[in-house]
Amino acid sequence: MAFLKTNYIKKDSVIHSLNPLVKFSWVSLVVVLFLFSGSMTLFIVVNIIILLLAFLGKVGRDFIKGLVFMIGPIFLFSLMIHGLFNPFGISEEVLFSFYTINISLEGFYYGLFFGFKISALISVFYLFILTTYPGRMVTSLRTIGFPHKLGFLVNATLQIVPLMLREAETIIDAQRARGLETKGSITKRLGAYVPLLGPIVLGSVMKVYERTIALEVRGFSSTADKTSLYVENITLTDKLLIALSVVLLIIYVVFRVIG
Amino acid sequence: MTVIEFKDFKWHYFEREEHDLQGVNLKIKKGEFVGLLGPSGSGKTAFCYSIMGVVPHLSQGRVKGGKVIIDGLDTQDSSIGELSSRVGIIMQSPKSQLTGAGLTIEEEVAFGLENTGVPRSEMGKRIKSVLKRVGLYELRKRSPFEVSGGQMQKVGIASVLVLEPKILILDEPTGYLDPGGTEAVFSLVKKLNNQGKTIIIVTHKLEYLARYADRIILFNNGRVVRDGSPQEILSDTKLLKRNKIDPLPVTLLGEALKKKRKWKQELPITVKEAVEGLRKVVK
Repeated sequence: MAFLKTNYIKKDSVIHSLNPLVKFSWVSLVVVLFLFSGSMTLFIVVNIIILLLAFLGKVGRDFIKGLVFMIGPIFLFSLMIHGLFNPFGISEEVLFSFYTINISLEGFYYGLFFGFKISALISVFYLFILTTYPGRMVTSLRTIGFPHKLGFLVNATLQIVPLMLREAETIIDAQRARGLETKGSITKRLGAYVPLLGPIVLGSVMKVYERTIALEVRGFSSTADKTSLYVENITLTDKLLIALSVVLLIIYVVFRVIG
Repeated sequence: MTVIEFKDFKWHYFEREEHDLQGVNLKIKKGEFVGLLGPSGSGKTAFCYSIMGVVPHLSQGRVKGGKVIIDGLDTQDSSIGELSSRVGIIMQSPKSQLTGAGLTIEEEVAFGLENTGVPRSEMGKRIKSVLKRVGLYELRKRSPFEVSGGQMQKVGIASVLVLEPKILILDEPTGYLDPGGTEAVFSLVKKLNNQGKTIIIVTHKLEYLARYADRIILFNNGRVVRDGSPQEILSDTKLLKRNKIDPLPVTLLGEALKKKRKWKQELPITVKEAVEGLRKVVK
């Protein structure tokens, strides 16, 4: 799993240097579209824009790799399920027929729409994570009044994924050393991951106690006013970009209401 | 001035049969360097946690009597947050004391300062000084999870030290360190002690206690078995063996010579004392 980037990638790019709040506002815009829009064209456009932004942010290759890994299965299942069980009821148009199995055109189209819709949401968050330094993100979250515990939660969640993956590697090495077969046919390989689940899940739960002590010792529940190691400056460009996202949001809402 | 006071404190862990602390009575004065000895499961960690307030606030169990007073605060009435400004604890496993709040060592150390509201202008200075002290300043931009076990332990120590607690508890802090690292930790702790900090350290490394500690408390079965000077406790080989602790080789050497009536003075606990004693034997 080491090929999959789940955390910040250090690069020097326009996207990286933006204030995290700018990225937040644009992510929120996509979330609103995700919740309220039913246009496939719109989602395809959003997907393309995010992909271009990923290349602008110099993380294009890792972005595509991660995205294919996350969205590929969703597309596959979405097309299969919606194609087989058309959500709009019985359809006349059959795209593909195999004995008694019919994939309907309408269902297939809906599956495609659903895939692009989810893809837009996942890719915008993924790009955000890849290009935003967690420390800066927490700082700017605090400046707009987010509670610091929530900031920590977001930060720690992002960091726990690579840690758990590393932990999984250690456990599988230990199990291999005691004779677990991890090479061979696909079923054998998949089967090898089952004994991994117990230790990694239980281990993480047990670590909660230790983690709690570690946090408490560092004054996590102290009632003092919190401070930050970093300062976040908001430039004029940042402000303009935030304003632009708000304007786009308003335009979208107006169009939805009128149209 | 007494900073730590245990008044017949009894603590019971839910998942175990007997009390883990069965009536501990003791006082520790400001600036003392106290070593805790005892076999595994003797209640050393429960004792440390009681000072920090983890017992009774976080651990699964029940107070069966008595109280603990830390710098005027009753631990049962104060939160761990309040106590954390007075007491710092460094645990055995280096990984378990990393909070995961920072991508770099610098941020990990800064986390406690951010929580306790230290102004940003002061943060930089304090972080720099503490990281230089433990020898991690050059690694400050690295991930705390990607350094060696010994360095990880130093990150833990730095993160606690930076908060400048009056009382510092170290629960087997050198388990993951090589001899050089162990010496570095002990001499750092001694330096802090000289600056007025109260030190409580759990360790099986008797030779360091002999050199650095002012006082040793021997635990077994949740009770204080003996409380005295390093000389008094470390030279009592019978007491140590009864409590499943290996006496120091130099002490055993002295004891062997004493049996042959060649050793006349007190049993040695440091190499220096052994050398002096041996000179007399040879004469």
